[in-house]
This record gives sequence, structure tokens and C-alpha cells, in this order.
Amino acid sequence: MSNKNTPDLIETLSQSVPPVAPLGRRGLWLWVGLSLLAGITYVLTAYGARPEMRLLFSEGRVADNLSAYAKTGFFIALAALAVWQVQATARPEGALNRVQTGLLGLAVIALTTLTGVDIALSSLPAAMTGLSDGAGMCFLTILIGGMAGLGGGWALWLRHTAPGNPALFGALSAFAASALMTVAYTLHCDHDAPAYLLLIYLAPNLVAALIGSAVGRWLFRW
Amino acid sequence: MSLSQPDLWQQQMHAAQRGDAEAYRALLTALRPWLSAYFRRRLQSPDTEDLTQITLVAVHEKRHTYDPTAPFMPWIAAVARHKLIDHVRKYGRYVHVELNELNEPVDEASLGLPATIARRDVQVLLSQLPVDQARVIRLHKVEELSLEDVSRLTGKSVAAVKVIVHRGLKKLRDSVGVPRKVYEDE
Repeated sequence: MSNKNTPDLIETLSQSVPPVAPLGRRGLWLWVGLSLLAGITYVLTAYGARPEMRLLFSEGRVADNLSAYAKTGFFIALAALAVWQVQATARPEGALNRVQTGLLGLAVIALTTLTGVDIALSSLPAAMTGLSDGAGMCFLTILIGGMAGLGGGWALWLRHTAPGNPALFGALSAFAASALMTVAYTLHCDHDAPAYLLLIYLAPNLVAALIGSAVGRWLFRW
Repeated sequence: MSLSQPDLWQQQMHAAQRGDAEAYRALLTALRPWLSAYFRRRLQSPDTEDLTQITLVAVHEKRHTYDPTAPFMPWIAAVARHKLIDHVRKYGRYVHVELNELNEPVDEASLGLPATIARRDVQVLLSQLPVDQARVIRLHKVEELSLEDVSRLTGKSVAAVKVIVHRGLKKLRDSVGVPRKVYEDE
């Protein structure tokens, strides 16, 4: 490109200006909905529902034991915060929302603290109970499901964005996709120990974010 | 009633999103000198026209990411900054960022970066430093206090203030990926 070509370039660009729909939220929330739907369908079909949940639903006592949904609620909140951050950073002038970033950080710190307290009150082996019981499969399901969700998000909405920081956007998108898969997985898994949630549920989200950050530099470059 | 430049550009961009070629041509033509000035102020190299062209193409390709209900200037400034950072990473050129840009009352209609964006950039940069170091740099470089005044305010010796400023600026240069030591503006 050279100086004398700029007016020609402007002429060329302005000759080809079909109407465009401004980037909206519909695609983002469609991605969220479809990811949840696909994740839940897969988890319930392949692994089945969590026993307490199955019982509550089969006996029509859905609201009788709300603690059965606590883990799911926690990860729904985490996923929602991540999705909002994705939305906040999708445009060139976008920036992280401080409150939401703070809440995300707080959630991670809270879970880590709970794990620490659990280890202190019981013992390390007791706190780690269940980590060998199919934990690898849980971890991989969340991580691979999250990556698949990221791919779906790319096809549906993410590729239309223009983030100011592609690496950060990649990390947030991958974290959000993985968190959505985690929500689906909580409907099956009955391990509720803080250490399990930290190492088997949250850790794959963080690994997904790392992968997303690396891939995002290339994927969301514009 | 005549529109101010940012309002006019906002209106033209909105029209361009609806496919109005005339409005789009007028917008791109008006953006050209703004972008050239933006890059000239930050890049000590002859590449500014190339960057202007690259940015115009980016505006074209990503025009759907402009939210027609939002002000136009932050969007175009962010697109230009993104392309500038890309260019710097690719060619390792030095970008001159005026820390005291904060104090200049930059009108959005002028050729300068909107003050809100410049303020955010400086805040983001300084937030990467320890609180004490950021405060010393802010006092000396942004508020333009003399080394002696900063020394009095912070209770540190003049020599210590000098060292803190020097190390802080070096850290900031490293953090934005500037490979060469070109400006030693202390």
C-alpha cells in the first residue's frame, strides 16, 4: 500500500458497501443456549442424571432439596459472568467489566478457600476422596466439551467479533464454553467436595482458558 | 443545526451500516487525515500512510462491530490503536505515548485521541506497576511535578525518585513489548 493509493482505496471500499447488521447479542445467547442444550443432552444420555436429581424429578418434589442444585447454581453463575465478559470485550473498544471480573475472581478464591478449609478440618486424603473415582473422565468431558463449545461459538457468533485483545477474548470465550459444559456435567456428577469442584470442575475451565488464550491470538486476530 | 464532527461521523457510520455508499465515502475521506495524524503522533516512521490504509480496510471489514447507539470516537480510536499495536509487534517500532496526554484537553472533534481513551490507557499501564511506583510516575510524568516536589510529597530522596521513575518507565516499555530503547524522557 502506498500514499497515492489511499483515495483509490477509499473509492473501492465505498463502492462495495452492502448493508450489514450490527453485531448483536442474539448470536451470543444462541450459542449459550445451544451449548447448554448439547452439553445437557450429551451428559444425560451418556452418563445419566445425578441420583438425587433423578429422584426429586421422578417424584415431583423438584424444590424439596435445593442443596442438590447448589453446585449447578454456582457454575451457572460462573458461566454467566464469563459470557457477559465475552460480550463486554467483543468489540474493539470493549473492556472487562470490573465488577464481573471481581465476582469471577471471588468465585475462584471462594472455592480455593473452601478447599483449604476442608483440608484443614478433615485431612488431605479425606478431602481428596473421589478424585480417583472417574475424575479423569469428568475432567476430560468438561475440557473437551468446552473446546467443542468454543468451536460452536466460533461458527455461530465469535468469528463476527473484533476484540481489542484477541488473546484475552480467546481465554474468556474458552472459559465460558468450558463453564457451560461444567453446568451440564453437574447434572450428572454427585461429587460435591470442594477439592473435587476445584480440581475436576474449575481446573479444566482454567486449562481451557489457557488454550483459548493461545488459540485466540490467531483465531480472533483481525 | 450543524453536527459536531463526532456526531456527523456517528451518523455517517450508521448510514454506512445501512448501505449508504455516499455517507461511507464521506466518512472514510474524513477519517483519512484523522488516522494519519493519529499514527504520526505515535509512530516515528514513514509507515503512517500504510497504517492508515490498513485501518481503513479494518474499518470496512469490521464496520458491523460498531454499535450505532454508542459514540463513534471510542470505536475508531480502538480500531486505530489495535492496528498500531499489530504494526508495532510486527515491525518492532517504537510507539511514542505521551504520559502527559492526560492533561491535554483533547476535544473529541480534534485530531487527537479522545481524552477518555488516553486516560484509560495510562491507567491501565500504571495499574501494572506497584502502587508506590505508579504514584511517583503519575506525580512526575502526568502531573508534571518536579523531582524535588515529588520527593517532598512522597518522603523519598530525589535520587530514589529518579530511580523509581527510570525503573517504572522501563517496566512499562517492556510490558507493551517495546524492544528498543529510543526515548529516555526523564
